[in-house]
Amino acid sequence: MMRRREFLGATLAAGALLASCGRRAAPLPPDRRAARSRVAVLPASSYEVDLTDLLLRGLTAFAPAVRGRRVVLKPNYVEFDPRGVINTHPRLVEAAVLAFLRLDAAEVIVGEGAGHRRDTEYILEASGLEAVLRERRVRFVDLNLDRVAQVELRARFTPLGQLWLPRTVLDADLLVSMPKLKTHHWAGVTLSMKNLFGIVPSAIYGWPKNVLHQAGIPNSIVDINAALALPRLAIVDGIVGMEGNGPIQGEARAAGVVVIGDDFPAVDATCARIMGVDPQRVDHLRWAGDFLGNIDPARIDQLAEDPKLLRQNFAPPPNFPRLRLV
Amino acid sequence: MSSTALKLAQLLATRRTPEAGYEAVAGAGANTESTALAALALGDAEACEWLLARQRPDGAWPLGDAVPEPSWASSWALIALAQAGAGAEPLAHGADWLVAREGWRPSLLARTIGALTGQRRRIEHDLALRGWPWHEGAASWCEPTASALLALRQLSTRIATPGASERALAGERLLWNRMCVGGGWNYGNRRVLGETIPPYPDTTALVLLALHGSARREEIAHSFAALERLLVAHASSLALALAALAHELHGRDPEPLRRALRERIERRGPPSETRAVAFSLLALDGGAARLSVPT
Repeated sequence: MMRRREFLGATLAAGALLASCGRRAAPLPPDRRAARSRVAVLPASSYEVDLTDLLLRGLTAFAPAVRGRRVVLKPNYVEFDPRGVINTHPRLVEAAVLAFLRLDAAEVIVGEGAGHRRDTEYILEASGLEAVLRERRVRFVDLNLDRVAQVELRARFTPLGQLWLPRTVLDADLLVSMPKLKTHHWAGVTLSMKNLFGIVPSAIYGWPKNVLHQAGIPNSIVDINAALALPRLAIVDGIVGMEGNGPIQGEARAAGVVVIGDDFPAVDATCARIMGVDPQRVDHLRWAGDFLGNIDPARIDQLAEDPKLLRQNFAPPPNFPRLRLV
Repeated sequence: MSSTALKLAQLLATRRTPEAGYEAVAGAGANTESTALAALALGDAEACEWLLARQRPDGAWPLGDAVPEPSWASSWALIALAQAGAGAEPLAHGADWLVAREGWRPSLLARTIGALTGQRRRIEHDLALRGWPWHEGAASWCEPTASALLALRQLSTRIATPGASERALAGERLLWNRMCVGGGWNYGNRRVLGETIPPYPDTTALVLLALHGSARREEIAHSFAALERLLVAHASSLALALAALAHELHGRDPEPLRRALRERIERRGPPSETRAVAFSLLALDGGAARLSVPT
């Protein structure tokens, strides 16, 4: 059976009606799910609180092996709009830099491959990230222009087979996905898994990364995440998120949380529940939950705050009216 | 050459590899677009040799040494080589490839189903129009269409390519169809799910540059007005450079934009990406003529 969201994602994003007709789920790669996953939900009322301390407390539970290692932070700077809340807040990026340096990382790099605009100088300057990078003397790598290597996709949710991916990411000792907590009009939600679209180099795949759209957005999300073997961590900026017509034109929604974990599907499922979204109704989360990570709440240990107590009902994207968690 | 232009030329020189290719950023490895733009900006004959040596058997150029697939950067290779007076054979071979290349379009059946089911209302542009994609098999978008249009228009003075004028017209039609509400261009969506998508200054300037000589004066004027508004809030080096070039090619005064570009570079240093450096040098050092086409 063709999956409805697969059909819609490929069709709507690319304007490619029927592009994915007849595509079927391939056999799943080996099950990579842990018996149990842990996700830390940390309240944070604003970007003015001591975010470095907050992250250090949150990271304690995961004890990431970063001493003497290279950490690559991948925040969401897909685009910039002064009217919106598209991006991971620069203060949270700064706090992550400081936290990993305090944990004795040899180097912390910030990397992003913006998906819409080619003018990276503008995005960095206008968003305020450039000032943080300069002040903290952090190296920024434009993942759209980085050296690349061809990577075999382990899952087959798309027909792509391989993807060129940036060496900076592939050579990292720890990849930290730092998404914004947002709804997404083609994918339902955009969190730590969808954020990895930004590692796919636009110099090869375009602005926008239309090849991924035509292969099916949820399908591509799962394939990219399944392809990466390196250690990873997610730090989600949910202090102020975005609801409605995300990921660009939605409205700001203060959720007051930072969510941390090392199982991306588990982190994203937890974030979805905080947004009042049923993860089972988000294709890429449901598919990832079959082999890549845990989305069943019975297999997720929630550290710090109980996400049920922090739940908010984000307005869904206009073409996903039935995402609501019952 | 002004001191600012000299700084830019010196920076470009640091991006040159021993084989005379140019890197997009330091350490990235030489690629076709950076090499072509540096060749245009510096008049580097060896960079043109680098390009000629890398033309694929099908006439296209790869993205760079690391990624051999035929790429959108072929348009810039053709523009640079045409300006450098390269022989007709590689130009004709490249032009044939460019004429044949087009973005993915849904079939008539798919478009009809889309219209009946309301899908087309979600993305409000004509999916049947033939532009150029970033990647093989993907849909058409504004920037690769603008650079392909510019390449075909420039080549038309050197060689006769069957189908080139029809393809150029088709590309032009696509660009007009994708023009944002109120003028200007972004990556290629004017409205999505009923929401207006705003234009970008750099893309607007690049498309205007490719459309110089167009008779659609009203849309051109609207788009220059949009560009002016956008530059108030968003004056990156790349945007200012492309805007200055577009102004000059449309017979408008580029000097205020050149001044703003010079001041910006003096204040905060040159841009980091080779593409922005090369366009800045072209804008400040009289390079617009190298992008002009017969009108």
